[in-house]
Amino acid sequence: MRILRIDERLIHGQVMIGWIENAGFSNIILLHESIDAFVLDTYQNMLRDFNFRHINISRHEQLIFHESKILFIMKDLSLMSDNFDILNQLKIDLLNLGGIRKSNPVMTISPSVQLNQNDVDILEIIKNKFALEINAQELPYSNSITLFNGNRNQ
Amino acid sequence: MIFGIFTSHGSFASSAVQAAEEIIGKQDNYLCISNTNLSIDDIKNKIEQAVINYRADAYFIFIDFYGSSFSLPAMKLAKDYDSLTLMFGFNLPVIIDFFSHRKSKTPDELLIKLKHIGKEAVR
Repeated sequence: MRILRIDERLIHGQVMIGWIENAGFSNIILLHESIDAFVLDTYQNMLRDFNFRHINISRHEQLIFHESKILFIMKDLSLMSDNFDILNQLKIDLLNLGGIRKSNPVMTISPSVQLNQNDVDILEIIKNKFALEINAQELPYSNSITLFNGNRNQ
Repeated sequence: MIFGIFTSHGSFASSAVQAAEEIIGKQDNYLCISNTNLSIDDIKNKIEQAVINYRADAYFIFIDFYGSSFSLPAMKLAKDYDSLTLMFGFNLPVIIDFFSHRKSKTPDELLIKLKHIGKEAVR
């Protein structure tokens, strides 16, 4: 299974313990446009026992991955707004909203997922263009709120 | 004096320090920070404000585990402030030993001692 997790905290306790250790996602790929080298080095060190990579998506036109079980992590939905094709390239099964807390949210899905209008608009585009399940869920075994089941006919 | 900043998910840090105080008495010059409802930036600001507001010779930041949401903000701050010492993972014996020896040891000596105590205490 391939999951794209949107989490403003990127790599932190829930990801380290819940998704990587407990759910067994040993392939972790951080997708970004610009991150401080110190931060990347720190993540590299934190995840030295796993297959951790980071990719600047603004510098790659084509993304190809071979592993079947991957946890992609991205800081914000807006990173996709100029490049929705990345969802085709990643070949994900689930778009997981893990941690998005915007000031002045227009939609509160859970305490950890509070969306602004731009987020809502991006999700609407994704729903209309991709047959992709979208949920809000902090941990693999915690309560999951399905926002879209991936069936565009429903 | 070494100032203690105990950080954790939920109320682990504050409860652990409270438990230590039941054993060794009320302490001062410390702060507990929970990450509940805090963003990474909020966490960094809270720790930095503690360093700015509480004057001390040195600061020990106790982080619940390596990789938790406190790790990156604390490591970033340690780059900017020489007076910070980070310790990842802590238990009740570590807290008690920190309060008992922070006046008599240098930060380097204390860190070595606390790491030893933390490991030896689990048996």
